[in-house]
Amino acid sequence: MKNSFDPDVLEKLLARIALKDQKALEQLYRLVAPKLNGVAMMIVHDNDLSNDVLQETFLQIWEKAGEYRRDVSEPMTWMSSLIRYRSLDKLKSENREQKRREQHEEVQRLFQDNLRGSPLSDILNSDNNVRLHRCLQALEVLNRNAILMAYYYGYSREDIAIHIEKPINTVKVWLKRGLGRLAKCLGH
Amino acid sequence: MPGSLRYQNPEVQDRLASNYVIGTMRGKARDRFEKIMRVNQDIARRVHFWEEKFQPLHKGTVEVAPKRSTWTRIVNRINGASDQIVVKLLSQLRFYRFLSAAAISVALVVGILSFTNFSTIETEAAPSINYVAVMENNQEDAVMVVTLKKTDRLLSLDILKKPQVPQSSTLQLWAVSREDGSIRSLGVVELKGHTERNLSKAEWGLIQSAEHLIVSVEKTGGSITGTPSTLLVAKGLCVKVEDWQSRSG
Repeated sequence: MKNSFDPDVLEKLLARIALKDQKALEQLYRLVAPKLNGVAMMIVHDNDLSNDVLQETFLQIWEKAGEYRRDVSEPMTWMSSLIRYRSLDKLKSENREQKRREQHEEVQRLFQDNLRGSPLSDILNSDNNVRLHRCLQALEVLNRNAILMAYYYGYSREDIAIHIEKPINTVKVWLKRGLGRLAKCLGH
Repeated sequence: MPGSLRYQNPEVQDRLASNYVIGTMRGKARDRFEKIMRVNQDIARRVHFWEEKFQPLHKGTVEVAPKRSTWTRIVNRINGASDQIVVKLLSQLRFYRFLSAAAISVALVVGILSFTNFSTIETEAAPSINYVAVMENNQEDAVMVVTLKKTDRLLSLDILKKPQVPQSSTLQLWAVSREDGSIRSLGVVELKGHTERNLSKAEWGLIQSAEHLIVSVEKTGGSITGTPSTLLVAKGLCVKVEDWQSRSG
């Protein structure tokens, strides 16, 4: 995350929001809403839907800020997780998955030239000091791409199977193998 | 393996947690897992581990400016809940305005503590209220209630507790802009229990952009300077109320 997402600042804002301080919510919104909206857009691929998800997420932050604990997760991790999960809910409720599959050329590029041309390649190659990047790069391409399609773009196992024209059981095996190796590499 | 034992297995915990975080666990399985996560700290910890590990992937996620209306919708939803409380309280205040001042104080306390169980007075439904301001004095007692209906741009003002006003003086209502803090007159207020008047379009615009309404004491005829005196008798947040049908007139 960018330096502007100072976790100490965000934590203090969340503490004030827990006390129902609307000004703090507004400050938090100004700081993180564009990034969170970007996370939602990667999954729902629709401006109206991502804004709906953003709204629901901020209402959830308003309600649940008192439950946030810094010793459990960093503020941006907590908020990114909230918006990712709400985005997945939105996909399901809007029955958008088929439409999204047709729209999503970016994912196609995941399977070309070993990640070149994908926006994710920049991320994964940008900082080799990030353990996750090293661990993902070490995975077999298909295992890695199945994980990235799910996490970054919100694809279900069925979506992935249809997209790459493989049986769903193959996808399940890739995911299981990939996540198992990732867990070991990440030291869990 | 029975469910409860199955979830004690660290490998199973990790597999479920990672599938939950990357989003491949869907539907009922996801709902079930969330319930387990709430009571099983080990599983919750594993979920947080995976969330934290995947977070660097968002470093390059392109920021997308939200629509302007999104923040407004958030604020409206947050204040909507309090609007409903205010409006329910309002209906009770109107009922109690026929009682003595002491009874109003009691009613306020009782109303705030127990409005959820209070049966509202059933009367003929009136056009919906669009804005409401419960006006308080310096002691934070509710002394007036202003409601506004878009239909006919109708402003209603109920005086719950008559303020002490010197002779040769009058009360004047003002709107304080949330944008620049400017204060504009909404006219003089009669010292009656209930008054109504239709606003002009310009005055309705003042209501739409008002953060607060205030009532000041002015010389008879109203302020000649176009600004309120320093003697304020009531102030209240002007709250937008959506989709609420008045049941109290």
